[in-house]
Amino acid sequence: MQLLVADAGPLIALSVADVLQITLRRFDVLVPQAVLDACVADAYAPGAAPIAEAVLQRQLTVVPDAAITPRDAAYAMGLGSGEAAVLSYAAQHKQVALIDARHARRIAQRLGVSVVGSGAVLLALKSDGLIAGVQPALAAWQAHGYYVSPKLQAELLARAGESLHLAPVRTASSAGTRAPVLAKPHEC
Amino acid sequence: MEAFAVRDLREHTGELVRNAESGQFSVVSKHGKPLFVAMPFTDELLSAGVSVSLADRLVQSGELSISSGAKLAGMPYARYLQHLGAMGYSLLDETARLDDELALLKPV
Repeated sequence: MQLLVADAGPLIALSVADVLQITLRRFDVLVPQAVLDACVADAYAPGAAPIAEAVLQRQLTVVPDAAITPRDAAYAMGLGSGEAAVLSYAAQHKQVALIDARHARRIAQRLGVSVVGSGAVLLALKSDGLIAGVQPALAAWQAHGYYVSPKLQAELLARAGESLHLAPVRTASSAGTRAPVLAKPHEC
Repeated sequence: MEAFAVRDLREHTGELVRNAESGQFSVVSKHGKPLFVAMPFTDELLSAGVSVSLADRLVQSGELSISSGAKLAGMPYARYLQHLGAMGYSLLDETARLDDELALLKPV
């Protein structure tokens, strides 16, 4: 199985979307201890329980921070210890990093580390027939107060061959027509 | 909490200061609408309010990572992501090149 070195954001995102178990069947996912700590420090935080359970079941491999040779560049650019450990490990072992945070992804690029995000993982799961669709994940994120821009939601759905779920809205300019209703931050 | 109108502020500066000294908030209104809140400048305000606001600004401007922002804001990572979500900060990278990323994910 392909190995991914995961940051906290995607782990939480996939866990909240209830696809963590399926992801761990499709990929070998490795997390630095600092990343795991960030995910489960608050046991009641969204996504924390399935992540802790996956560690207990040895489905998620935890790498002690001491086993990671720090890349000074990663630690010097405003990254937290978890993100820096992910990039350092991925750079050292030439593995793909699973990161969603823009800041860390930019630094990954500078370090020559290949990066994928939760969106690509969802699409791969769908393409492999392991999940029925990406729409339930988008709905779960919205229900938990995580925002994904309407544009990116539409792109993920289109690539997955799913249609955008539309709700009828009557506006002054479009009376009698249907307009898409997309999540706004304050509605999350 | 006491309310003052902007036009009367000059006559009430003493009260505003006394309120702050006694730990009370004051609302200052203009044309009947609240314009700003005067609040006591305490260590709590500094440690909670200012640090969260600073973290948000630095994360959104791309100068700080999310985990560093969460640490500065004093929130667990998952909750800080929700906090950012309420401000329209996307969970996923909107600039991601999905074709390139999918090419990195080897088929089963």
